[in-house]
Amino acid sequence: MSATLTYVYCLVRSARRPSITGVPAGVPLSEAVRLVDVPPGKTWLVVSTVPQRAYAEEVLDQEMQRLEWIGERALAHEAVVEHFLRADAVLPMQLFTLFMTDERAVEHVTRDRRRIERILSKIAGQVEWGLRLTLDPEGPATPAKTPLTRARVASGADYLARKRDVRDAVRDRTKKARLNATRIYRTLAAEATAAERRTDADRTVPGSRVVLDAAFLVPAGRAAAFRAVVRRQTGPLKRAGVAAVLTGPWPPYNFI
Amino acid sequence: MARRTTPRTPASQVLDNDGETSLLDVIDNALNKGIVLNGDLTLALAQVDLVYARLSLLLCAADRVLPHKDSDIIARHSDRRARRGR
Repeated sequence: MSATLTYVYCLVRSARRPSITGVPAGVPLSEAVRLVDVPPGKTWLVVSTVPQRAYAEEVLDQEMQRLEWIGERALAHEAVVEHFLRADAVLPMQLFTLFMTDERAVEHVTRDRRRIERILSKIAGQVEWGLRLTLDPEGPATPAKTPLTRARVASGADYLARKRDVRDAVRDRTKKARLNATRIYRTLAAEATAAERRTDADRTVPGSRVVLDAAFLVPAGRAAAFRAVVRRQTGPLKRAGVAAVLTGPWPPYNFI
Repeated sequence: MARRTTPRTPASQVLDNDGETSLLDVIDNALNKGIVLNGDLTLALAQVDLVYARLSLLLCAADRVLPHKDSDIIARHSDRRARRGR
């Protein structure tokens, strides 16, 4: 077994060989990030050589449970991918995509050529923006504004009634926020090349305050216009206690 | 025409701890959404680990907005791992 492995960050499509000047350092313990030509041309794999012992299957299997360990590598992986965001198209690989040699990596890509071409043509010139809307627990003026702890509570029954009022108000606000979220999602989706709304958060965590978790595929040149629409749409929600966080530009993770 | 500086990328925001982009989002994307090439050494590891990572991310994400912790899923995952007997 070889003592080193080829770690693959992403595949880049570009008219010219992309610059790797200033490219981030890569995952921990890796050598310098470099490009590997993929025939017939205009396509490169972004890779770095890593010691086998640091990324062996047993190591991954064990460390995958530590979010800090994964986090450090995910950030390094992501930073390298983002360096190539301005290329015609960048296809991020899953974290820990490892091959025995460069040649094996190219071989795999070549074998998957048709699927990759299809994805590349879809995401060329596009970046991803993420929008998350959450109901602020601090909320605006509602009965919840009078915290139970501070209120003079006359009796147990009074306490329970207050508690119920708070709960009802939260439920009402959540319902309104969800309706707004859906409206905003549709408006933004109409502005985007493609859109994805994630619902796992709601399903997995009952009572989650996330009312919208969505990703939008937007032409790189339309970033400013898209952000303006987001601002216009989400601005009025602040009064209703809904916080909006827009992130990006991301590689088009949700559209490959 | 004055051009605004290019927006900083999500990863750089995380590195600077801007709070705009969460580390969890980065992990989630890189781990669960990148294209799977089936490398010589892939995360064929065990789907359960991926699922676990995904769920704990969600839990943590929920934790940021909800002041309560739910360790159930993590506990269940540990059980499953134990049963796999590896």
